[in-house]
Amino acid sequence: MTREDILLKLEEIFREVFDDETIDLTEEITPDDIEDWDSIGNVYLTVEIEEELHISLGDDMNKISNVKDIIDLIINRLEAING
Amino acid sequence: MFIRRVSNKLRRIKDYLCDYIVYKCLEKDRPKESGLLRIILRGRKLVGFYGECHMYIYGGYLSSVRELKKYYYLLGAKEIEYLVRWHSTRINNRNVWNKLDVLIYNPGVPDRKGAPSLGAVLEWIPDNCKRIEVTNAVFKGYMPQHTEKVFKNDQLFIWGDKNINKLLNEKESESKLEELLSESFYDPQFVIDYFEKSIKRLKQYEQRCTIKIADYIEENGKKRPLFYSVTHPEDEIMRELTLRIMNELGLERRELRNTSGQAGLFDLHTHGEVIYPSVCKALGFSNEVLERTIHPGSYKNLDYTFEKYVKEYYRMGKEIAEQ
Repeated sequence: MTREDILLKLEEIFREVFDDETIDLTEEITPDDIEDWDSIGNVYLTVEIEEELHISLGDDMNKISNVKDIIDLIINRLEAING
Repeated sequence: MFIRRVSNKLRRIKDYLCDYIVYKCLEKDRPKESGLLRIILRGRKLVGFYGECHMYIYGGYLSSVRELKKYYYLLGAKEIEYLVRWHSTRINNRNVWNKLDVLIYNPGVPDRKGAPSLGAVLEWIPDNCKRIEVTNAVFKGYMPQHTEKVFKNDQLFIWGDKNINKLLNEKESESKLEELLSESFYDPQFVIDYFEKSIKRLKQYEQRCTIKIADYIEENGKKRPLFYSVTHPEDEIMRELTLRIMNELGLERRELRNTSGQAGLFDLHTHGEVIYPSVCKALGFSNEVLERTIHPGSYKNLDYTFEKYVKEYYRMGKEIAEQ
């Protein structure tokens, strides 16, 4: 999956989790930009990403500060799986 | 009230001393079948706890069950903040965790200064230690207004309100608050969908937990409100979760004693969040629920009706914005 593919997939996930079809995701978006992206929203987001991409993000999702960090984390996990 | 306060204080001192002695024994790198610990445990399994405020409630209920105490010794059955405050050096010693037979914990507890991380504790416990991962029981379904974004205040409003925040941001006049009081403020279908979606999210989150609660909320959550705030369940939920923990420990369901003051309504009735009249209406709650009051923040001496809450939140938000 390329960075762009991941961003597109994340946009789908964000729209579903935060129930907002108008979300246009960019790497710069932070939790401050999306009202429901609080600590509980982050937990829901983590669960949904893990389910969709079959990876485990764990507590590292608590340390992210924007979408870019999530993409980096996903790439890191996918690389670990694919070796 | 006075007697209850004194007896609670004495019980806390006793709990502290019991935990202190066992922690001190565990700190020594010796098997638990030796010395003073052998006498204290008398062959019982050692149960440790790691979690937030809910742990205190489970601990209270579990320790009120005589049969459970025949087979298990409960150590540090409190929230992690308490353990950091009173047993900081002891809980950072891996020896106190590596002799546990059972660990009851909440997943995703954030790291706290002075405490070992949950990840470290899970590494320290022995391979044969039974892990009971208990859902954090966080449920947004009754409170679609919930947000963590709230103006800085004196701990009166711990959680924010999206609707009033919006009115404040748009500098709308106080008269607009009337709309929030209306039974048609939230569209009924939105409320029902939001409730169902919150259950779905909780179910997803609980997939890996040993002890779950989403099924119980799904079955009973529209009969009565089961949460005092998004993060504080009502006593009914805490009792049900305790019974499920007991079941995991091999004990049958039973009536739990009312341990008011130690566990139950008394403790989790803080940081209250309102249920909008339109949410009550859509979920089919009785008028009694409409008249529900909350203690804002940790102010147990204050009782806010929905109307009072809306006005106070708006007033304070406006006041702070003007400063």
